[in-house]
Amino acid sequence: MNSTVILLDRAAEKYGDKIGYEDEWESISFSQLRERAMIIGTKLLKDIKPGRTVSPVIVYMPKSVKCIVSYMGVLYSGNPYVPIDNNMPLIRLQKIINNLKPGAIITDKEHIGNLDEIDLGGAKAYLYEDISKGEADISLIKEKIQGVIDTDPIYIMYTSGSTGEPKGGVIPHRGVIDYAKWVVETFSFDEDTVMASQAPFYFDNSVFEIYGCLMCGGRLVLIPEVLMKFSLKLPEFLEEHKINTIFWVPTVLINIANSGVLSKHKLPHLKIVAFCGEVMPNKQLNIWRSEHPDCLYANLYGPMEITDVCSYYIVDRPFEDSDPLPIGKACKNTRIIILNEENQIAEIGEPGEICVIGSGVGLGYWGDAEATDRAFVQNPVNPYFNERIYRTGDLAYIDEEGLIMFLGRMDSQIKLRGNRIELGEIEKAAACIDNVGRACAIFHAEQEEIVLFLETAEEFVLRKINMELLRYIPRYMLPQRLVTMEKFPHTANDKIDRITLRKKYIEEK
Amino acid sequence: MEIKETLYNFLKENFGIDDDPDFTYDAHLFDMGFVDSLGATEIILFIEEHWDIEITQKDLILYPMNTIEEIAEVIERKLG
Repeated sequence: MNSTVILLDRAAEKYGDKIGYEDEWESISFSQLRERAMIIGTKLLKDIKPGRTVSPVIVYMPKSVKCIVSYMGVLYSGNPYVPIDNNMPLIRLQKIINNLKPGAIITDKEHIGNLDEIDLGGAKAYLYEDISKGEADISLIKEKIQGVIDTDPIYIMYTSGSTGEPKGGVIPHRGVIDYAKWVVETFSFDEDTVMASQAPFYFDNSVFEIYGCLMCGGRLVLIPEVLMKFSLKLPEFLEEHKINTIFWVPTVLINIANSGVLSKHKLPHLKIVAFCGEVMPNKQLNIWRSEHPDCLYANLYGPMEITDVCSYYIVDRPFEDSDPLPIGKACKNTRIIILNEENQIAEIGEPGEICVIGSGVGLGYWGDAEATDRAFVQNPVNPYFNERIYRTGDLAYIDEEGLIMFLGRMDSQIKLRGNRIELGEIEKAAACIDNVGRACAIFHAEQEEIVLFLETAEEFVLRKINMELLRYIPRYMLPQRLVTMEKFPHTANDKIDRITLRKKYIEEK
Repeated sequence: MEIKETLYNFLKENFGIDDDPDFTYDAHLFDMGFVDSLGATEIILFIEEHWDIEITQKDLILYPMNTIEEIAEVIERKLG
């Protein structure tokens, strides 16, 4: 298989009128999805000027079935899609557009106005309402899709960059095809699989759901965005929709466990509880396990750059609340090596960097050779042939049983409530605020809070600073605490003394 | 005490909101940064306990509950 969209052709043939995707407004069968996507694909194929190998198409809409139709439509045009958060600050969106130089943008009536303030670099913005109507030229699409190869990009997802510029990870078709196959095999998904989608589509956990369902003919129910704010009501939603599979970020599972609602709401349909995106503590997992002992629990691990997931652990024994949960072993057709500081394979128990090899490894960062060359490199222990590895920047060791145990980050990237954040991006944004000198962001892991330090003579309150920051960075990056001072402490070589800041204002508090 | 007033006082106390002219009955609690994502759950738990009602997932999907005004409306409807 060369293009992933062939999965949709197969699903339409095999499952036809069966409902595949639904949200609070509509539900759509696999055949309908294919028909509508082909209309979009045809329009894009006719309109986008040739010249580049691929022309990425931004999909800029709230999470909905319409997004899935658009993604598939873009794939039918032979191009990669780029899911963009419709709440993203416009300054950040402009940075992304400058980097991406998209071929087109698909949006809706509510959001097209935002684009007036943005230089689209000549890309045309389509309303979904318009582009999804018309005639499909099936032979034109077939011809195009035949020319796609599985190392072509399928999507580009932007993630936080330490320099303040978001980075666009480019994922190849073969990564998603391989991953969808693995997902369906590992969890024995079939036509009866019903998933509730939690992850925003610009977050790659959604790849599990969108393509897992496409592969097995299952059904994906998108959770209304408002409910994500009130996670204690999610079990009620799962019951109502007879959901049997969830793949969520641990924060949501933790909040549900902590709210005590699990003992009130039995979830007789739920069979598979998988999670990924940050560390899942056994304390809350044990609450889930005792309330729902018959479910299968799976801890998945992987950065966006390797197609969502590269290792997994099916929870197969009891754990104490304070035990760490393994991230397990590499997925099928994926290899993980742990490299120590000398760039050698680490011994059992020795910490080192998680490095990933396989079809899922991404094609680098869009239009950013420098960042690409730092992270996507030749395997240093293989001097014989070309073997690209992705250096995750995550630390881990392999235990006596051969299971990978996650330790943390090697740099200032953090995970907060499942979101990947570079503290440098917050600092760059904060330094743009009037009357602020320098800014320093420090993560207080125990309290799960980002503390923002500002050099300023002004009196600032956190909420007002956050309202300013929202012009540059997404809401999930906002700090939870603010400390202002006229002058930062310095180290001997004139750098901000982060250790003193942490000691004095975070640990002693 | 009036519903809105009860909510106002609860939010002020529990979310460390100082005397702030922006904090009004129709201020967007989430967009304006008065309550963060974890706080939403706390609000629901408070409402359910204080007025002995249940806010269902359907209520949340059907009715916006972003301001004191909006939340009070839902409570009134439930008590109705």
